[in-house]
Amino acid sequence: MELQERFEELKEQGLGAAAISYDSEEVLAAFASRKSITTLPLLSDDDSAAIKAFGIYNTVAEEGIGPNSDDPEVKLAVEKYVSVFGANPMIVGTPYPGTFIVDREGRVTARFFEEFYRERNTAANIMLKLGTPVSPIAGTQGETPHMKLNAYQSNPAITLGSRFHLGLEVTPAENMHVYAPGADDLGYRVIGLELNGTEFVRLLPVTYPASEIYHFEPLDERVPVYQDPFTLVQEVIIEGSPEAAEWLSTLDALTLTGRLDYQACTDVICFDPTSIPLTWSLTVDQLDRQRALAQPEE
Amino acid sequence: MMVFSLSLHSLHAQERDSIDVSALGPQVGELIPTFSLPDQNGTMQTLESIMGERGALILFHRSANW
Repeated sequence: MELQERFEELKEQGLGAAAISYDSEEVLAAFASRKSITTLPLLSDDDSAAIKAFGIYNTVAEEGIGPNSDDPEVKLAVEKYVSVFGANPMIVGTPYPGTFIVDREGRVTARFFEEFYRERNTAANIMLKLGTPVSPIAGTQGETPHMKLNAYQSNPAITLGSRFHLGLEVTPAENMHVYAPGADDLGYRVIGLELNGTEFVRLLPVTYPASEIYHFEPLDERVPVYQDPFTLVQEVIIEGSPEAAEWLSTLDALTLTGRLDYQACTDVICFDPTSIPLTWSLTVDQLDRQRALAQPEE
Repeated sequence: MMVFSLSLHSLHAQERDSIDVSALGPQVGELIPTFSLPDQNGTMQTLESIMGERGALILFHRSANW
């Protein structure tokens, strides 16, 4: 469980953590022992009382096995919120999966819920969004005459429905700047991270950090640039559809490729626009189908 | 009678809104409910017991068993 792996890092950042499900203590004990979950509390809400009190009880799971179960709209809802394999009494009692971040007083400061039940933020992705430093997964380093590059990923391994991110740390060489969003209005080439499309892999818009204004005196232009080290972030969702599941089930690893386009300048010279190929290699974790406890005989 | 029930059915289908999961449960700025639940070792845990110096992350997941 990734949250266990991040538990100490979260603690160092002052965040406690717990995972809540409707599983019995017995199931959680078996799961914890099998997955070596020693410090992260796995909480048993076996009558779903807390899940209901939080207001995130999955009512569609119940509806899917109720009198309207043949309603095409209910079937569609089941596919999205309950299971692509159809309704199942076993799923009744579960929440819509998601994460709350609260302050010391128990007030929500952030929350992460995805519409499709199979898609969810990795813990590392949540930490990024909270501005909490994540120990980076060793990336690929490179250097051009204009900058140093470090391509990293939030998670070494991904699985069906993972919402994670790829990062590119850029350190401009001394006296060098590259152009930030907004500079395109003045005719400059903004640094751009462009991933190649892969079926079943959804790319969110690249996130740029705040830039600074560079005053180019000869033209008296004020241009948004990056001169200090900065990071471009590409959020990625591995889709959770049955087709995506079939595709992913054949893979041990997933390579995502793309390129960085930029134009770098100093106070006196602008270099030709440059394009650098980039590669990220991710391990694919197949969904864990093993039960924590053997099912009782029917 | 048959026609009546069919039209009711389609009305029901049309009126079904998709669920906005982001609107469910406590929103940013709101307090979460209190809880007291046993962990995998049988120890009772509350928001206070899991709390860090700055706050806490509470993950709701579907199941550890399937």
